[in-house]
Amino acid sequence: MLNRRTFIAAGAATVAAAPAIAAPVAVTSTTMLKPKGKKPRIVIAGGGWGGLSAARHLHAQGADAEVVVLERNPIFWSLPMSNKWLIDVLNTDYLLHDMIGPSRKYGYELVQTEVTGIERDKKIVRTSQGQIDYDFLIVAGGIRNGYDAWFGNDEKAIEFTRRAYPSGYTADAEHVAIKNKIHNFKGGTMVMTLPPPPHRCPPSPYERACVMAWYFKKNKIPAKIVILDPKPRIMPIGGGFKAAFDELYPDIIQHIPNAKVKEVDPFNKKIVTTAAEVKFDDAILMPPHQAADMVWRADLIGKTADGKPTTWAEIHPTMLHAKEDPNVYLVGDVMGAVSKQFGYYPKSAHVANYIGKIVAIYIAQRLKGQEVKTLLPDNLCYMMVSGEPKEAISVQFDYEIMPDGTISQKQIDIDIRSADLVEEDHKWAQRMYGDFLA
Amino acid sequence: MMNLSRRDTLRLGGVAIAALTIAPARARAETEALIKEFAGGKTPKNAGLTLDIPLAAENANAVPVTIRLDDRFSGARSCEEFLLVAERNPIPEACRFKFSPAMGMADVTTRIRLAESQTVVALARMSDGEILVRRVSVTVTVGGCNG
Amino acid sequence: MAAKSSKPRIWISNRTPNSGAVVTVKAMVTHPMETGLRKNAHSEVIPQNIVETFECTLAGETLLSWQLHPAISQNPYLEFKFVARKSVDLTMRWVADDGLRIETTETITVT
Ligand SMILES: Cc1cc2nc3c(=O)[nH]c(=O)nc-3n(C[C@H](O)[C@H](O)[C@H](O)COP(=O)(O)OP(=O)(O)OC[C@H]3O[C@@H](n4cnc5c(N)ncnc54)[C@H](O)[C@@H]3O)c2cc1C
Repeated sequence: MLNRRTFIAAGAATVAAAPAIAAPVAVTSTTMLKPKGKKPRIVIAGGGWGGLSAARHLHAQGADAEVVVLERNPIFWSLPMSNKWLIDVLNTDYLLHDMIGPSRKYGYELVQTEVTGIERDKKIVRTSQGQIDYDFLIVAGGIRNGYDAWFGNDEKAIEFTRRAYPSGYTADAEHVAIKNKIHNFKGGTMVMTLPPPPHRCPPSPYERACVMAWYFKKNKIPAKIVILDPKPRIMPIGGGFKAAFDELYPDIIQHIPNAKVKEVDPFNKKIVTTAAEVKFDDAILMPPHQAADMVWRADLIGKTADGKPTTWAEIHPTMLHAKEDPNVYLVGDVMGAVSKQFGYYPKSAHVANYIGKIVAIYIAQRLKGQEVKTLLPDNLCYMMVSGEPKEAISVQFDYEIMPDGTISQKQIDIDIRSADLVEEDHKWAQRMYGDFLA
Repeated sequence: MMNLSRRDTLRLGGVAIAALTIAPARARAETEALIKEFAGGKTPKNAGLTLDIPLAAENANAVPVTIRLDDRFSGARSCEEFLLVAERNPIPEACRFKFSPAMGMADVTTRIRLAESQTVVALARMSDGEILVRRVSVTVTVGGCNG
Repeated sequence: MAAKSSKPRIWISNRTPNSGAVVTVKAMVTHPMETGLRKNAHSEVIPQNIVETFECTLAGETLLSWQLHPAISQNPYLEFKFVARKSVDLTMRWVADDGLRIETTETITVT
């Protein structure tokens, strides 16, 4: 606690002259996290894939500004590759990364704190350590689990579900719980509910099913994995996953399409969907995904035609700032739809990293008084379907601007599982980590 | 992965024009002519052939299609050729497959582009001259399930 | 993400099938399958560049041939099934309209 205090105090110079041995100072509504600086200030709320990628590239792109990242986690936990870690194909070192080193190397400030509010009219971000003002704000908080879609405000059911059947879709200790769950499973029915689209990393729940099935098969655990999928068929890489389910795990994996969740009873281990009703012995329950709380607090969520929240941030499709606020950028999974043709960019680390870079370039161009030129990302994703021999499938996306100014998407599934795609996956991960975490 | 500067030039140099679609009447005529030529005067039979294609295609750039002769080849009767037609594509003829009797069966899957919602037609010519046909109408949806 | 290599990806369900068993082959090559129907920013037509034929032969005899048109998706994908009768070397060959040839041979041993 003292360490953390000291670290924060160093970044919070306005705290009244502290006695030699300071008692923790109460944070009030006027406590400043940092005083106003001389240079323009870019605050990045959320230091995950998108936020840290933007932070890493801002100065490199020539943005003459103070860059401050606000992140609640003390260490970087990589969600990409984490499914492979669940079955010990990779070790923990592969996923855990230092954030302090990169922040010093790339010259941004990293403050471990919880973002509690964003007041765009005053251009300030509120945190558990005080408030900070900004000239540009990058909102990169990732996703929240929308348990309310299942349970309304029944906090008891939500907390029970979170603890007993964690989803493992955000960077936290839920992954450890899931790993233990898999390793300790004695057999029976393991159910997975897939979130409805758009959700974080669409192919990864199928990958998780495959690696679990491989682990159960290898260890001769009499397990059945039931995938409750709200979509009409497996996608993306539907052919590749279907082949893996049918050819490698015919007795283990059962994929049920059109299974939209109607009712979840975590206490009695029962789920009712539009396609089937299932009882389970254990489960990984993934509720619908939505933009992180901070996006809601900043009042940046879009609205559907009939006035309901889209649950994602409304953005300018190519300029990537909030529809109504050009000083606020949205990076990563928080981003709302960008195209009539395909809707959302895939909610992937690859896209978050790419968009982080693009937004760094855009802000640098604006600070230098240059014209902002449209840039588009691409996406690339590898999914392991077998642990031995190690084989993966893959999907890539390309984007183009059409003559009418809209963005069009091309998707290529590589359904044929092979070992070289596993190698490419490692190269992809190392390239990514090398970009902003090395 | 592309680096940003390369992407930029690509964007400038490669602005795509949406695939042109052709007028319905002309499309039908072209499809009918193709079928007539393939059938060699015979009337196609709506049996014995399966055309497996999603009724709603989310990714119009790669719609999975399977064409399958329901029975294995037997004795003198085998399948000589499949023709796949997407009648409202700018070029309706999508592809053809020719089989040797040594295959023992005819069952192929590929991925095609569909310019818009339309009927997709598969035809098979058997070694005894019989023509089989299957038509499926496919809706190209514009959805958010973009993987 | 343009084509980096033209190395074909091949997957075979069973390389040592019993006689009479059905073998599934999945084959894919990296290729843009440029339709010839698109224009660039200067309103110039991007020339057609497609894989035109695929052939699977054994001992010189054609088992399966596939004639492709621009409707076939980028990175043309083909899956086919055949009944295994004797041990063979399957040669698969893709030929594009610009003369590009991609070839690979896979051995099937019937037991
Ligand atoms: C199992 C799994 C496998 C995946 N595999 C791949 C893959 O192979 N390839 C791929 O490209 N993508 C993959 N992804 C997806 C990828 O992880 C996400 O798309 C990516 O992390 C999105 O980046 P982001 O910056 O939007 O969100 P995140 O990386 O989640 O970052 C958001 C950050 O904001 C912080 N934060 C949130 N709220 C607050 C707050 N109030 N105060 C302070 N900090 C806050 C969070 O702690 C977090 O660090 C996978 C995801 C999962 C779950």
